[in-house]
Amino acid sequence: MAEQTVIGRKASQSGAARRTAPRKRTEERSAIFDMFRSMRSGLADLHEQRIRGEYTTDDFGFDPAWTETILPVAKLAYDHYWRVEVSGVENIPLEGGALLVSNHAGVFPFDAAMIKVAVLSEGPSRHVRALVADWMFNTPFLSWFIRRAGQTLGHPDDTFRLLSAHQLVLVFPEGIRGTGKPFSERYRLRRFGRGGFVEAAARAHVPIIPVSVVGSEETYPMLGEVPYLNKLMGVPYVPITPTLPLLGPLGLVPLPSKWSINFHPPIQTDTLVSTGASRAADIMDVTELVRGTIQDGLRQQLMDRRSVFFG
Amino acid sequence: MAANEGQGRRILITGISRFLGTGLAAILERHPDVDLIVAVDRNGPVRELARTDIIQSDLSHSLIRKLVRKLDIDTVVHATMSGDTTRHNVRQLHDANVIGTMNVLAGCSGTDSPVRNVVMLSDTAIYGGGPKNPAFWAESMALPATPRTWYERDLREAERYVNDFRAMQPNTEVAILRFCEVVGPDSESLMTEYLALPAVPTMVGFDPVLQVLHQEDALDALAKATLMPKSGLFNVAPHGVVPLSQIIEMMGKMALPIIPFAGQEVFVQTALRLLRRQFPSHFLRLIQYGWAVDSHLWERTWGTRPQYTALEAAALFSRQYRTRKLQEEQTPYVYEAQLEEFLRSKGRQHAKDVAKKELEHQGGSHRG
Repeated sequence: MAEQTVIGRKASQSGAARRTAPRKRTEERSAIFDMFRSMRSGLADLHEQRIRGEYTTDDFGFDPAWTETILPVAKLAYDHYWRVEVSGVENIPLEGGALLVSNHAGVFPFDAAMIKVAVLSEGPSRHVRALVADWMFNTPFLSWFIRRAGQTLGHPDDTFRLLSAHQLVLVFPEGIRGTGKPFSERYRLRRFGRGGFVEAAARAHVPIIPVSVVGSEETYPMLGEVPYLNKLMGVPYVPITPTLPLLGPLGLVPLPSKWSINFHPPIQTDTLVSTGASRAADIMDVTELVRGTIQDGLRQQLMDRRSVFFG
Repeated sequence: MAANEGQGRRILITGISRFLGTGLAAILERHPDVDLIVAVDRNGPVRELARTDIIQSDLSHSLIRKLVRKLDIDTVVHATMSGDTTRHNVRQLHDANVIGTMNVLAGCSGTDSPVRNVVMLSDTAIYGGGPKNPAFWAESMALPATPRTWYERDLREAERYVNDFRAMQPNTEVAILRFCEVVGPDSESLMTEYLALPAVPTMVGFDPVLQVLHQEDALDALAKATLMPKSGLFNVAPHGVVPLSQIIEMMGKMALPIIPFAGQEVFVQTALRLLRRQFPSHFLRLIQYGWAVDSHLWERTWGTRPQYTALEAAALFSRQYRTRKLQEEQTPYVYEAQLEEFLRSKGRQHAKDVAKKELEHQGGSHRG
């Protein structure tokens, strides 16, 4: 019985794929054309301002107009490559600060980009400001790119400053422990820092919104890492994936896994974290609560997922 | 202040050969409450001054000691800190920065010292550039464990002397002002010289955000700190930040990303030496990582607010920069210098009255 349904599903799916293949291809081609068209017109508008230096960035060097011009590339990956399915966008506040806390996976932090696109295009169309590790600000081009696109260092003071400025801030408490974990450990959350993110949210009186992302782990299945080379390059790890050193630069292309992102209901730090002597304990409790919510969310999404690549 | 209650202020400026010192003297000259302005520097002022007495000498402890006691100086503005290696070499700068500060403070200390206010000009370069920097440094944050450049180390040593002085002289108001990069048509700093290069070399793959303070705001801050003395450590910076690439765009220049991000000491310094430009290591970190500071404490303490944001300051500077040639062509008013010489020989009180009259005559054309 079970076998039959599996065969049936496979058969019907391949049949459907065959039928819709030509149309899908033209659709994707037109999507690429659309992307280039919108980017070209956007860039033409920007060019005039840029050459004269007539634009403004915020206190962190974030340039919203520029970010929206390059966003179609991420949107294309979002819609057609990883086919991201989003739920719970109603949990993201329309205004005011909030701290989005997510699991972190994949060798490259594409999950941050996808969460940003999800909130901007399907949520309350606000820009999400992710907190990143310091090595990124030490890396040429990357440091320039991430700052322009609105990211800042995961420094407690920066986090507080952004949250008090009523921004949506995205943080990955696992940090590189999350992105650099081997494939066999996928979807197992690492230690959630030292609860610094809860402290920052409580200090700024903003809610925490746990986010669980499924699909990011399969973009680069990390089998191991090259020793010593990371120190030389100034990066936290140099990954070995089934394709990465083998196919050369082509190995950098992430696998097209099917993604789902779930935004969980907000956790109010104001009521849960007291200001008295039990503050440290409260912060650890909330950290565990957030971690548990995300782990449960991941479990649920993985149960719902039948295929890594087709969802 | 108690010693001089009801009398005019008598101010000593140590370090007048740079823009901020000279600019402050020019503002104080127009202030009716200021009786006496004396400046000590090895080199002369960057432009003509009317009633400032200039002593061309190194900052020696005995000279300062004699000066403040004989002239009954109540306020000392210490403005020698510099990381500008285009004019002096690092060793000379270290002597001027650290040993100079030590001498000035030693000269001002003692129970018989009339000095009641000390203002020290420091630099936000003390925070240094690095990937682990927060977006904004506050005065209360701990500095990185070790200084990474010689200028950071100089600034730390000099500030330590000032803090020791404050601890030993409880009746003295001691303010340390950490200035960010000052730009303006008269400002001659590393930043303005860097931006004046025909094509501006930048670090490959890095575009930091910076704070630039317009010279008007900088002089205003300095004059306020001198005339309304307060104690403490203050960051002086504009609101907001501006990307380096944007400043270069506004200047109408081209950014040349030619400075390699690795092996700087070897390649960069050789390349820049060939171009006969030498940028010190702290400046290279500024154009690689940048740094910005939170200046709310300064604004609250003096109830002030900078006139221009970082972006506005950069825009205004780029506009003023285009007419710099016209400014240079204006010949100094020789007759006025001769008149001042004559008036000075006739006595200080008379000169002060003339200065007052000049101030009234000029009306609102000057600030301060």
